[in-house]
Amino acid sequence: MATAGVAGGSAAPPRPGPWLRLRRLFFNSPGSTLTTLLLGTISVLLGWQFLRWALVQAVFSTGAAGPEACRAPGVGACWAVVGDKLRLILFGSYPFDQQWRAALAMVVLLAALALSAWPRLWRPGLALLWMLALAAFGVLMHGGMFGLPVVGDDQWGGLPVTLLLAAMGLAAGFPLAVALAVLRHSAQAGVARALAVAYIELVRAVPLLAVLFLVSVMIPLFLPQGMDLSKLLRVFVAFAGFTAAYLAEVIRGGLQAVPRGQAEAAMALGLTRWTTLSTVLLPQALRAVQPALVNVFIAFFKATSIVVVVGIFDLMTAAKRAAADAQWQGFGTEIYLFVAAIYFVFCWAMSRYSAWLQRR
Amino acid sequence: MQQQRPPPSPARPRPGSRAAAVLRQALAFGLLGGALFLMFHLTAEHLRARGIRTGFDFLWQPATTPVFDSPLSFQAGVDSFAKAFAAGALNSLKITAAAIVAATLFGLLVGLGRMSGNALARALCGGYVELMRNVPVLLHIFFWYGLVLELPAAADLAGVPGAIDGGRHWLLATNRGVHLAWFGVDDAGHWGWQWPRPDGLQISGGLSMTPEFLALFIGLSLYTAAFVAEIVRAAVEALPAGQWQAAAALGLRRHTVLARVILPQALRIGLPALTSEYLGLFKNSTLAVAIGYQDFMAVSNTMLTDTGQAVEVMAVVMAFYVLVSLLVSALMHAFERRSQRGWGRP
Repeated sequence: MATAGVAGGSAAPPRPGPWLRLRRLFFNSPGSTLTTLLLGTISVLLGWQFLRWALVQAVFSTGAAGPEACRAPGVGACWAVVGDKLRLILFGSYPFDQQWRAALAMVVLLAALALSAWPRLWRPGLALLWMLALAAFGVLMHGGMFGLPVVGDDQWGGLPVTLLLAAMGLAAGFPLAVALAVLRHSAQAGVARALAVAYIELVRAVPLLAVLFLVSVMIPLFLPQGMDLSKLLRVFVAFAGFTAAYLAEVIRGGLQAVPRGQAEAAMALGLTRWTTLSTVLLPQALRAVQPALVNVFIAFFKATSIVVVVGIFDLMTAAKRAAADAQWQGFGTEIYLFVAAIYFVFCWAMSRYSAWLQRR
Repeated sequence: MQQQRPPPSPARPRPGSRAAAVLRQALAFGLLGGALFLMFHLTAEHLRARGIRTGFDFLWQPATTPVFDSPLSFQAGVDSFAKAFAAGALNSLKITAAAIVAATLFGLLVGLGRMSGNALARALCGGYVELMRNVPVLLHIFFWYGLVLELPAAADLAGVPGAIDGGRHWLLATNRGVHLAWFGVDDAGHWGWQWPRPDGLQISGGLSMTPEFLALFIGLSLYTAAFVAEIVRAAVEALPAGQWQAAAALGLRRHTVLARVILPQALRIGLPALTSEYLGLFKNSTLAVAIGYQDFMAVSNTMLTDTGQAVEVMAVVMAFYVLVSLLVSALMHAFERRSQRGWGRP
C-alpha cells in the first residue's frame, strides 16, 4: 500500500490545474491506479447495493397494509418499522400520554449541554445552571408537582435515560476523578494516596459489566436493612465510580504535564495549597488533556448502552425491545441502523466539538 | 509587599506538620477500616438473615447449568462449578484471541490506508474509522447477531445452488452457525481437509462457529479495528520524516521502507496504546452476556443465580479480570523492554 502522504513537508509548488491534481490524488503511480480501480469498483458495487436496499426499494410507510407491505418480494429496507416504533425507541416504557414530559426533559438537558459547550459561559454560574437543569429534568420526568402525575423511575426509558446516565455519571464522576488524580499525584505517600492508586488500578482492570453486576447484586447486601436504592440509582453509582477511575488517569497525566516551576512559583507567592491547586495547576492540567477527556466522555456515552444487560430501559434496551416485536419480526437491522445513527450524531458532535476547541 | 511568613520549603517540613500528617493518616486509616467493618458486618448479617450459605465449598460441587461451545467438554450435573468457571474462562480467552488477531490485521490495513497516497483509500478508511468508533460496540454486536440469525436454516440450503449435491464448500452459512472448511482431524482421527456438509437439520464437519460467537467476533473485531487503525496512524506519524527520506535516499522501495524501517519503529511507539486497546477488547468481550455466548461473565452470572452466593461469585469474577489484566500488562511491559533493546541483536 502506498504511503506517500507521510513524507511531505517541502515548499508548496505553484498550484497545479484540476486535472493534474485529480491525477495526483487518484492515479499518481501504477499502484495508486490499481488501488483506485479496485476500491472504486468495490465501493460502487456495494454502494449501489446499499442505496438500492436503503432508498430505491425501501418502504417508508406501510399505510393500512401494516408489516405485510414490507414482506412483499423485491422490497428493500423497511423504514416504516422505525416510524411505527419511534415512540418506543425514544421514550421506552414511559406512559404514552405523558411522553411530552420526557421530550421536554430531554430538550432541557440538551439545552444545558449546548450552553456548557460555549467557552464564554465557563464560570461558576454554570454549575447553578446544571443544578437547575437537572432539577427541571427530575420534576418533568418524575412529576408529583404542578399537577403532573407521578412516574416512577422504573418506568423511565429510552433516550432521556441514556442522556441522564451520561450527564449525571460524568457530573458525579468528574469531582471524584479530580480528587483521585490529585491524591495519586501528590508527593507524600500515605494511606490516601495508596487507596487512590488501588482504586484506580482495580477499577480499570475490571469490565464495566462486572461493576454493574457487582452494584446490582451487592449494594442491597451492603446497605442497612430497610434501605435500598432503585435500580437506576445503583447503576448511576456504578457509572460515576467507574468513569472517575478513567478520568482520574487522564487528569493525572495533565497534572504531570504542568511544569514544576508553576507549583514552586505559586508557593513562592505564598498561595495556599488549595489555591495553588484550584487556580494554577488544575486549569492548566485540564486544558492540556482536554482532547483525552472528551475521548473518555465519548467512550462513556457509548458505554451507557451496557445497562441493557442489567435491565435498565435506555436507548439500547428500547431498540432491542422494538426489534423483538413479533409483528415486525425480521426488521431489526433497520431499527439498529436508526439507533446507531442517534449514537453516531452525539459521539460525532462531541469529537467535532473537541477538535474545534483545540483549534480555537 | 512585605512577606509575612516565609513559605515552607518542600525539603524541610514545618515543625509539627509531621505529627499532623501522622494524625491525618491514622484518621484516614480509621475511617476506611470502620467503613469496611460496617460493610462486612452488614453483609454478613444480611446473608445470615436470608439463610445464604457462605464460603467457597460450592466450587467443588456439581454445577447444574451446562456450558456449551467450550474447548473443555463440560457435563452439567457431573462436573464441578470450578470446571464451569474454567470452561467460561477458556471461552473468554478464545473470543478475545480471535478478535485481537482480526482487529490487528484489519486495523493495520485501515491505518495504513488512511495515510495512503491514494485519495480514495484515504477517504474510505477515514470514513470507516469515524463510522465504527462513534457507535457503541454493543450495538455492533446486536446488529451482527440480528443479521446472522437472518441467514437461511440448514434445511433450506436445498434452494441454494450446489449446496446439497455433495460438492465441496468452503463455507456454509446458516442461522445455526457458520461452517468453514479447514485442515484438521475428523471424528475418525484422520488428518485432512474437513469440508462442511449439510446433515439433515444441521451442518456437520469443518470448523463450526455458533451465531453468538460469530456476532461477537465480527462486532468486536470491526469496532476495535477502528481504534487500532488510529493507533497505527498516530504511531507512524510520530516518526520523524527523516526516516522516510533517509530510507528513500538509500534507494529502498516504499514497501521495504514500510516493513523494515517504519513499522518496527512505530510498533515501539504504539505498543502501550495497543496494549490498553487489547485489554479493552478483553473487557468488552463480557458483552457476550447480552447475546448469550457463554464467556466467563455469562457463566458466572448463571452460577450466581444457581448458588445464590453473590459475594463469592463476584469475588471470583473480579479476581479473574484483575489477574488477566495484570498479567497482560506485565507481559507487554516485558515485550516493550525487549523491543526497546532492538530485535535481532544479542
